Amino acid sequence: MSETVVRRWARNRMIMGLPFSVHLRGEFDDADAEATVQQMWDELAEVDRIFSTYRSDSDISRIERGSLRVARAHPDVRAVLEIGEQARLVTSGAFDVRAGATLDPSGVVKGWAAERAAGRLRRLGADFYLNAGGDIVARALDSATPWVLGVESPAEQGKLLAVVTIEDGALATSGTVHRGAHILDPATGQPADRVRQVSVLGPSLTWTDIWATAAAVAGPAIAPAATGHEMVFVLADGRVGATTGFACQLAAGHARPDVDFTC
Amino acid sequence: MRRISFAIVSTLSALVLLFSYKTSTGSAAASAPASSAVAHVVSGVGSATAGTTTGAAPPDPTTAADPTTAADPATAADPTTSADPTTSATSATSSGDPVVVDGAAAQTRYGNVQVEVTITDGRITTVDTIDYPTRDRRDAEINNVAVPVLEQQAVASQSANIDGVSGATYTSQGFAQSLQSALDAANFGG
Repeated sequence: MSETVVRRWARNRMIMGLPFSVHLRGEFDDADAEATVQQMWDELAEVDRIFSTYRSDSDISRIERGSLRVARAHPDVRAVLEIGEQARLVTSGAFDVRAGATLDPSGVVKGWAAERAAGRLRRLGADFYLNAGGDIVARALDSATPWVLGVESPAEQGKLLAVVTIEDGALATSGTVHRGAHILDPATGQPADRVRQVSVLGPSLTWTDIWATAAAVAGPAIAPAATGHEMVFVLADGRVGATTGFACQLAAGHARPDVDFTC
Repeated sequence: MRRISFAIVSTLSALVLLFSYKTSTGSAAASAPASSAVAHVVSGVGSATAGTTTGAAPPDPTTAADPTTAADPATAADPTTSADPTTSATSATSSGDPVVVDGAAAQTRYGNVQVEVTITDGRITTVDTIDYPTRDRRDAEINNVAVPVLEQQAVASQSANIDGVSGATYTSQGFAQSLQSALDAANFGG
């Protein structure tokens, strides 16, 4: 029998080569939650089958080989590639699914798939966040108790660079060395090296993720183009900088009395 | 000469315009530019690194207008802060020495954003944004205060009310050692 309880609850799974974890908080039906999370895992596994560049039988790999036309592929492929094209335009090319030698839409897929999967959690009527390999989509129903989320320090394991709060939004972090590979600068085809790490706060994980990838390539100069998004950078030379909105987030919880953040 | 200086002016204006965008509450529309452009010759410096040198004279931090007045969020920050850069440097371009030209600081929602352009042999070879953290009081605050505050918080984070962690290094190995992994374990199974 299912029962409604108030508690904190987490489930995790490795999918798409990434650790995914779901956290719930508040009142929710246990059986509903288990079923919903299982549906999420199934949906994400399907995304992996369609988009994995590591699987030779994925739609993306077949498209790249020329043995499948986009028009005949899973409709999600078209949706993702369209987002990819929008992203290329609004980031002035800093984000490009064709940055390297092969088509790689994973910069769109991760955030897009996670956001879509997390949409299922809204129906549970509880606070939730989904951490998709380091990128987070979160929803807290009461503004008095937002989710409190840290940004990893790129320099020191286990330490945090920043702490922000989210009521309904997303936090994505991009570093120029990802899982042993590099984010490529579409302009040069070479590894981007201007930024060591950048985190982006925004309303949707799909676009927060895209902006984080673009900002890892382009650096702080791209911040103005990302309307509605806030960023914190650790540059290659170690300097840390943040857009005002991000700094204001920090100030809200952690300002010292002798500092005036006019936010 | 004139053609090059013309190109510089228009390019820098365009670049500064890129950094002029909608204000949000708390940001004042720009008034006078914080500085006029400064051009200087940097000889023998590779273009790749010139952008990060601090040879440019920064705008006087005390004159940088603090965005303390709320502005209509729909208005774009005034792009006229892009004062024409001085063109005296252009006489040096024919020599082949890299020339670094700083555009006027554009006051934007995010604080001052200033562009530094390196011109080598008459071509723009590097565009760099000289921006936070050191160029005005608020950015100095961000850099000098926020980071130490965060460092304190980092130590506290082990036991603090952190619900989750965003990071860029989540390989399965990295994840196993991460704070997020610990949080998952703490909450697993309800």
